[in-house]
Amino acid sequence: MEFNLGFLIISVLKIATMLGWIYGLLWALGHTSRTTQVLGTVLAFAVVQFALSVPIGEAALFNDFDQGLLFQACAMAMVVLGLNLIYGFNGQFSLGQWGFYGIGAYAAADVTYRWTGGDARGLLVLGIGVILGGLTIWGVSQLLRRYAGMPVLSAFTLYLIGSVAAGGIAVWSGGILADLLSPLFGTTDAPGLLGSDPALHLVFFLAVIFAGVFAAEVSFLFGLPVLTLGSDYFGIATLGFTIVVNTLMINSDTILPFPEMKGGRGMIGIPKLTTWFWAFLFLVLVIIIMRNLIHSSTGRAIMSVREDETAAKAMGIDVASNKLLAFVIGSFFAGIGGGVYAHFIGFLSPGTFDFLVGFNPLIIVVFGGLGSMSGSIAASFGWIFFLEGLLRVILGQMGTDAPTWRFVLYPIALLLLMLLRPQGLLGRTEWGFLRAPEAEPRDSGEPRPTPVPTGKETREPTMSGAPTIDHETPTLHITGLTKLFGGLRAVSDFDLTVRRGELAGLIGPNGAGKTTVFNMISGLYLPTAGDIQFQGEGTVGMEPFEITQLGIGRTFQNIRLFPNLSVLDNVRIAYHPHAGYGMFDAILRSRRFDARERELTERAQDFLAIFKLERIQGELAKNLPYGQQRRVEIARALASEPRLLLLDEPAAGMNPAEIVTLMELIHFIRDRFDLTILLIEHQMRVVMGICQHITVMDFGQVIARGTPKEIQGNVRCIEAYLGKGAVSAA
Amino acid sequence: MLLDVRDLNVYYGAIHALQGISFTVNEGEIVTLIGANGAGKSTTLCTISGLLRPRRGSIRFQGQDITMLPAEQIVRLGIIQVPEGRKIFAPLTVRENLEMGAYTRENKAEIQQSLERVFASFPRLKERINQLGGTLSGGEQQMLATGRGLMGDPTLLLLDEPSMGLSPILVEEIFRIIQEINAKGTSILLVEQNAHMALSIAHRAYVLETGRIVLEGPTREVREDPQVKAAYLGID
Repeated sequence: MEFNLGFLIISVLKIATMLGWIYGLLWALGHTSRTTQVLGTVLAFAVVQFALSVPIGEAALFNDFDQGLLFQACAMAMVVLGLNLIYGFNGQFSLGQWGFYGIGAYAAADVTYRWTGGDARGLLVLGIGVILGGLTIWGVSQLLRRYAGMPVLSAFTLYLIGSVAAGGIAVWSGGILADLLSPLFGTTDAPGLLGSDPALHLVFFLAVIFAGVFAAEVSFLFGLPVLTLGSDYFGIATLGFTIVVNTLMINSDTILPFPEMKGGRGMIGIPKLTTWFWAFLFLVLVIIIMRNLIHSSTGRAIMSVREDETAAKAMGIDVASNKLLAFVIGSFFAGIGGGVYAHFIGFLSPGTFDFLVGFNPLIIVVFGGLGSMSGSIAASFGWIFFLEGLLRVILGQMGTDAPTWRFVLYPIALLLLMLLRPQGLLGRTEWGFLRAPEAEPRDSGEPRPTPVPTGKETREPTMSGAPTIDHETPTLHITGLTKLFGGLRAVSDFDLTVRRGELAGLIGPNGAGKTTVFNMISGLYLPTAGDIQFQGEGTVGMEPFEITQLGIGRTFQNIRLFPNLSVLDNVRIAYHPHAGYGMFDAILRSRRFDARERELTERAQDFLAIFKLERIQGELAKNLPYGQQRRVEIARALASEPRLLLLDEPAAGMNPAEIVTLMELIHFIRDRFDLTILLIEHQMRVVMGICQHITVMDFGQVIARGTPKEIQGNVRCIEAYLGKGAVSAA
Repeated sequence: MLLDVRDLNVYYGAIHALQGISFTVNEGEIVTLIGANGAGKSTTLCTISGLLRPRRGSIRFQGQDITMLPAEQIVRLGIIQVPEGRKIFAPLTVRENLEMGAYTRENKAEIQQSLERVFASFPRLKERINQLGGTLSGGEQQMLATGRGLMGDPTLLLLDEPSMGLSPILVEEIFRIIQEINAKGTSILLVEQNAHMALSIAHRAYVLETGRIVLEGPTREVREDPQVKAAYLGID
């Protein structure tokens, strides 16, 4: 067989051109000047349009085959971006993306197929269905807010009943309306208003959007119960989902009432409406939504769940809701991609949506780099153009059986790339538009006023060093707190009262149960018995994120930062519950988003400045030495705007000089932010130096309480805990 | 000379974390590295144990060049690291964690002997022998990590912050145990924030600042250095 070198060179050039084109598009979108953004985007569109339509010699620069690859790559990029949101950014391993892609494709195709046949029913039923479905989901969620703590399955049942009812209403009302509209289509010879070409294109646009929303709503219902599983089980469950969707497609004409989908034979006659304009439009739309979401408080909350769920909860982030959110938006993108895909070849076969093919987006997302949007887009284009385009044709020239070798070469190519670049093509780098907007470092010249918590009254720092303690209302009041781990009595009948403004210490031998007490106060452990009152409100049974939002912040003994996020983002995440703007503000980059985002960034930077961390705001948390990580963690806890701050061994890993600074800092923040502080610490210098009241635990019980002086004189404490040296040193 | 480190240069990406440090540990010595957070102390230990690779420089142990040996072979030569932040096996029991420490050893009787020794040093671990490592309190995990290190019968023990998270009485205890281990012939390279205690038990000390050694000598002298006093001992 003859090997065509010319073809190879041209193909490689095409791939390189496409990657360069993506880079250029992202550069233009990310430019500071609005004119460049618009012109650049239009130019990016026009260049490809030119290549598709202007002939060179006998064929266009991009022939029909290339055009197919191009549209396929656009659709794939949308699917992969969605999957990256779910898997790369949120950390939930999903194999369901292909199922949602299929749902989007079939839903959108059915709408336009019927429309070209003079039937508005598809559009009306889908449109009314997704709108009513959305309203139902919103309504039920508002209702559930009043009954906090409802089991997931009960909530799911409510949502399901509501959605099925909405679907029923949609089918009924859509049918009636469609009959009313049918005369407006006219005949083939004399098309009416609805039969016209512009109407069809509008319907196509609506169909794709509705199909995306439909996929999103299905993912909501599916994800609500299933996301409570751990990530591995979630992966299996989503694989099952894709198989179910595929089976339904194969039997769409028998068990489902959609004869036009023709089951396993495949749906033909779908209008070929996806032009370069539409593919480009939807791709840019998805890119913009994705980027605006990721670089916002919502995006940071989504990433924090991937990094450390426990720490996310302690920052007041509702982990379950954020998982669901990422899953729903990711599925929305998949649905849109499916709608675009369905309309460029005019044929849908269930084989395309087989779960084995569904591994493609997973491979692409890993290959491009988990957590890199640019990587997802570049890898989608590269994958389609290289493997489907170049390799298939080249192998095809070598013999009729050769294309089968693709399925040997793909995995080998992938293995090699994974071995050589395990973090993916781009790792976590982003191009142009997708890069995080840089936060101006806080310049040391003009000091801003120290940050003040919002919406909460503050007190001027008392200069005397002896802050006034409000003896009337205890900030924290614990009675009879008990925790059993199996047979082990970790905490037993523990009482503690911390007054407002107090700096209290909790000390005791290792394994005495101190951290267990902290975990119960912050809601990570449910007490076996006992009561915890915070500012007069019982907190037992509340979710950790609710307790944080109520005003209890904490740090962890073994440091739980979000390792792969920057120092600044670690602190900014704590503002999520008070961000003051919602997801849609972020996606639309509203004025409120700009103002609030700037404000919370500045405030986070102020906290960093207090802890002398402003110079390293861009470093990843995992790259910091231990002592700095501790300071970031305290800054992050403060940013969650607590009234009560729980510090678990803040001085661990610090040298004596750093400990002195830390003590000053603790005093400073207590006064500045009107905090009540409870700390666990083994450094007697810290405990005896700053605590006003100390509680000593041993074997889960309180063995002594008192002022530092009293504790130092307590024989039992000396024997159990302090040792003689510590007393003399303190 | 037991350990001879020459001109060690380690990078994290573009960050030059160790900028050519050289030091030695002699047979039977306790040597301590002190310095602020981020000075490169843990990096030094991780490079010796083979968890990090230097870009330049050499590490010789008992005359053998171990600079490029993989970590698991370095353990077999007798260098054992007790890492910062415990890093115990959370889903394994206390006993299993300790047995993992003796992974490279064959002689059952000797292993049993080491186990007895660890329990004698840390009675708390014996009480919790069947408890899962992850359910121990922070301080208990620190004891377990140190105990696990001892189970390998090290010639050179690399201790990274052994007193972190321990109660005052146990801090004294752990330093006593370190001296005891040393008295039985194990050499020790100690990284510790509690510079006061570290300097009181070590024979020699090196002071690290941003990846360079700025001061070295017998602990008696280092302790009297005015800058050390101010920066690391908290004495003005």
